[in-house]
Amino acid sequence: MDSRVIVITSGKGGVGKTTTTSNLAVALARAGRRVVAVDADIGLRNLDVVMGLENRVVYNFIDVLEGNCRLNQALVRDKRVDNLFLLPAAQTRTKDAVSSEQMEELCALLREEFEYVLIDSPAGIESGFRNAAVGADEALVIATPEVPSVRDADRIIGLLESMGKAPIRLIVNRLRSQMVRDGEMLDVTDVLDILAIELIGVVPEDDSVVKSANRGEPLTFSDASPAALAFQRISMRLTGKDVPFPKFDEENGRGLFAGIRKLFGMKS
Amino acid sequence: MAETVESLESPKGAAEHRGPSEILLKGTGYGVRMIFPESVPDDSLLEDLNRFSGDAARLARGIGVVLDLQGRTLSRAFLLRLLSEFVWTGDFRVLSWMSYNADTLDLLRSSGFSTGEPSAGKSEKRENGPNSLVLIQSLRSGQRVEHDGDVVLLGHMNEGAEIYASGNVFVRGRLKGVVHAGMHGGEFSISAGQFEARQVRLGGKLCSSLGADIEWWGKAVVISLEKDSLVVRELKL
Repeated sequence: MDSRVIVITSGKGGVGKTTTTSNLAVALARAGRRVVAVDADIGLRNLDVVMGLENRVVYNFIDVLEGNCRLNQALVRDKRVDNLFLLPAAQTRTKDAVSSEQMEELCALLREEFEYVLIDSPAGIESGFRNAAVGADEALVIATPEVPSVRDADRIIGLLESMGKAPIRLIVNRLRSQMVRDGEMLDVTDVLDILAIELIGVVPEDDSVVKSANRGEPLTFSDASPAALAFQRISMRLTGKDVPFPKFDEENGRGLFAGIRKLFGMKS
Repeated sequence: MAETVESLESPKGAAEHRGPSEILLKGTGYGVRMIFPESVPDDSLLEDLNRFSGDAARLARGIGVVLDLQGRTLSRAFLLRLLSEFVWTGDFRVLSWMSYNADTLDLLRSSGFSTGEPSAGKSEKRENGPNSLVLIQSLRSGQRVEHDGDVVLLGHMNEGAEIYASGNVFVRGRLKGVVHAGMHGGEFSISAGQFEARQVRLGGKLCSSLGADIEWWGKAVVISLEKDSLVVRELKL
């Protein structure tokens, strides 16, 4: 089976890695792909809650690596959509409970079963991040349009490059058009100018993200909110479809698309 | 010559090949550079090194090695193990240690080890021409370059990146990181295509708290140390 292992990471915490992982996993599964979302945040697991599967977790991937159970016993199947599985992290262990070699072994096992392996990385640049990334082929870096987030994303991109991950693509999350218009937030062009990697999607700030996390129902299950649509577009781009970037900020005539054209020196 | 960030160097001389496990060996003008990937845990690295034998080991013993720790955070305990279980037992001649991890470099220097590219060959290079390091890339946050000579960065230098050079520093793109030119003294300069750094260091001078309120912010500038004063000139071609 052709399989892609993708780490979703950021450096900074709280920028939307888990939200992105859950929504992309659901969107890809609904598009007919066989998907597993892996929570690599050992000791601080959240992906099970955000996906609404916390009550069904029995084993975790540390149990698999330690031989306490088989892989298919630890996988939690999402009954709401075919082909979607969660591989939870251990909540009672620490990041040191797993080695890089073990994570590579785990990814090799998952490659045999799934088309898409989405790994939700913990924040930081230490062993937790490295273990999450070591078995991945490619990376999605999440950054919010804030200076600290962009700086941390820059650091992470440097580390991912040194680990040989490619492609490394960027998701700008929680964009607030009004703040950009008011000059109080970096716009996508500013972020791209600094990070200089391929943009795969922009997710606008959307209250429905908080509601969906509390409900345990990723937006891409059904919602047509701006964030849900953004995650769906990103999932389609991940599968190789050419999906245009919408103009979130048309009111002042300086849309995202115009910004990207400017970045590449094209005329509006 | 240079102490650089990852993937900045091209192999010189001998061909590049894999050593035991993920350890990368590069032939260089001064010896064999052994690159220890950060992703390999300390214990596994020592196991791999203990299996290091054959022609490559003989070659490395003969001409000396540079141990490149990449971004690995080196503990005192692991440094001691590396020395006792690999360097001393294997009778290797370590020319120098390299890393772009600031803590690791501090530990090595405070322990009296030579860091950066080995000094052998430096004088020869100086006789043949300027000792310049040209980097055709951008430097990202957390990446650090140290070089005994001039540094030319044909890219951007993002916030959180650092360049330390004993000579001049030229950044073709946007300069937002920390640059220290002429770090061993002397009158040198820092040039940038777009200056947006919060501080500059030239020789023994430090100019900090720079910001958008200065006249030359965001412009192409040359900052030089002349008669013990920092002089800023807009770079107009």
